[in-house]
Amino acid sequence: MLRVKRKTFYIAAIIGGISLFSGCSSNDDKPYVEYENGAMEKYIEVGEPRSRRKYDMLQFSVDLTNRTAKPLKFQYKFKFFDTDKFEVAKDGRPWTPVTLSAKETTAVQVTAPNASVIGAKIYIKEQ
Amino acid sequence: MNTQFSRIKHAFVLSLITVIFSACSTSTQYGDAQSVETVNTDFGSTDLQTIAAKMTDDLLMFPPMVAITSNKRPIMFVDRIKNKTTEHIDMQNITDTIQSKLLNSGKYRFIDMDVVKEVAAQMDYQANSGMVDKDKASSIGKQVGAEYMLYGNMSSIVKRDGKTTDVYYKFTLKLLHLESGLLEWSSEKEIRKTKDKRWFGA
Repeated sequence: MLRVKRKTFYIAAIIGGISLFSGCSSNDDKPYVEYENGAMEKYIEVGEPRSRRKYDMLQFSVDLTNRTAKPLKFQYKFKFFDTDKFEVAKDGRPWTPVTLSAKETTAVQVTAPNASVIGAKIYIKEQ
Repeated sequence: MNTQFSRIKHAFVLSLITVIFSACSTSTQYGDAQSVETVNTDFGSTDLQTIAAKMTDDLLMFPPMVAITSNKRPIMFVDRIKNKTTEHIDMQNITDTIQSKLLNSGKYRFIDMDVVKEVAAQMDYQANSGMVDKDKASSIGKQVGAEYMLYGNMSSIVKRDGKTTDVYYKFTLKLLHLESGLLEWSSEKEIRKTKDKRWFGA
């Protein structure tokens, strides 16, 4: 099992600035990902985040790929933010453990806790 | 010679006492309540939180229920969750978390069947004690009935050999429309935990 130092094994892939008020969307509303620590790229590839809205509820999905040739254990957590960038439903999501086989990709999906959410961050760290 | 031996003996005893006391020291600290807990294979906080998150996500995005909740807030009540595992698990802990998440989503409302007696007692007090202004008392017979019932069960399969313990949990939650008796929604969450006993290293 691949072990990665906790300090280096930490990113925040930011899906923010998703202005999806009232179901309206434009090209500027596309989710984007920011890496706070480039070292993570060695182990996990974070795919293009996707989001969709059903009525006023928002759902996020992000593909995470194990870049290595060994099984990889890690955990992720989502945080949600409203239009004022205040965290919504703080402590509402647990760290979720994941194990990926070599080169495997998994889609992590999450539903916004309520209609006030317009953005989310995904944090990934060593298990 | 005797003096030297005595000094060595005292030094050894002092070292031993120091080691014993340092080994017995304890510390208390706060941690992240959302962190992954892997103390053993028993049902734990991470399992509870993961189940609640999955159930809530599924129900909130289930297309027929999304359509229904887009213009009204259905009223539900939570029936008990059957614990079919061999462990003692506080199932109300799970349903409380799910209920809180659904309530805070703004999509659903709940009737709390745990406080029916207390509510009845309060209503009786307001109506019959003579202590409450009739114009300001809550009227009897105007409560709203639940439209849906949440219920389910949790089962487990445990396997052990000399060194390995494998635990598989399956949590099932269902939503039933009371009037029609139709099962409107159901979701499952599976969890597998394995523990290997190692004599050296960790």
